[in-house]
Amino acid sequence: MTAVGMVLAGALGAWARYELAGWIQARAGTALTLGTAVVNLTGTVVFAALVAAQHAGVLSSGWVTVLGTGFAGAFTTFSTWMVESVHVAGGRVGLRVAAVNLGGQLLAGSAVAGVILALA
Amino acid sequence: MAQDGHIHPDGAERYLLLRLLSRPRRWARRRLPLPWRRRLAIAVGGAVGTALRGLVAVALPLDGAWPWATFVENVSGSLLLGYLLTRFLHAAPRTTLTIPLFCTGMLGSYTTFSTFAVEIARLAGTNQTGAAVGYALGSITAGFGAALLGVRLGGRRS
Repeated sequence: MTAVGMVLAGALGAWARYELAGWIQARAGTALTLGTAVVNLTGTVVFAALVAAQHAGVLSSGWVTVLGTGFAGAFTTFSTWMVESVHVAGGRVGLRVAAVNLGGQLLAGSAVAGVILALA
Repeated sequence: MAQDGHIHPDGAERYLLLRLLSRPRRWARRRLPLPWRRRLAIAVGGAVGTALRGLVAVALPLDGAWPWATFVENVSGSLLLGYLLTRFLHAAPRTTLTIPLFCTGMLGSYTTFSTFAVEIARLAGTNQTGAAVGYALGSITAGFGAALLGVRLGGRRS
């Protein structure tokens, strides 16, 4: 039952990612990786909050699997982050943009997750 | 129909078949508009990718500090996305639903950033800073290398 819920939540997560990233990208102009960055950071906030709620005893592990592993897991993406970084990495300026995209999302994501987990 | 002696069974079957084939295909007119077919393809791909991620997690349960399941998913997904996206973008004629289904939906959901970030935070928060840094940098180095390899392989002879 939890597995079915996780898979269905994954379908919704992928759809939500497409809508939010597309909405941002349509307004971001030349910032080619902004949509994925926002999606990844908001999804990390959601997942970390769910894990924190589980630690606090408010949420069962089944719900964390469905909403966290299922929805937030599919809502966020690692592969698009990597391939977009490869795409922008042409030339010297591009390499710097790719490095900022890689390091920025990594630092922001783990910092946000760390703060939320520490608050719980 | 075959037992009916008044009509030749062969003729009747052929007639029915011809009628079916020549009928205006109603489903073709009732098809969803393209933006919604794209959303549906992304959702179906998202379900498949999430199920695959679940299977890898079951096959590689957490054993020690290093989260192998997420690492394997993220690196293999980056390789596949680099390869398939490049292939599909070079394909002529351009197909409309393959990229939403396999790239945005399936591989986007098969790999995950939120679990990755929470795992790093959890390692760093439990005095396993070395493992946290190693896991973070290892995932990014291997993932970027895999995506680059996939893009190169996908761009070959096309």
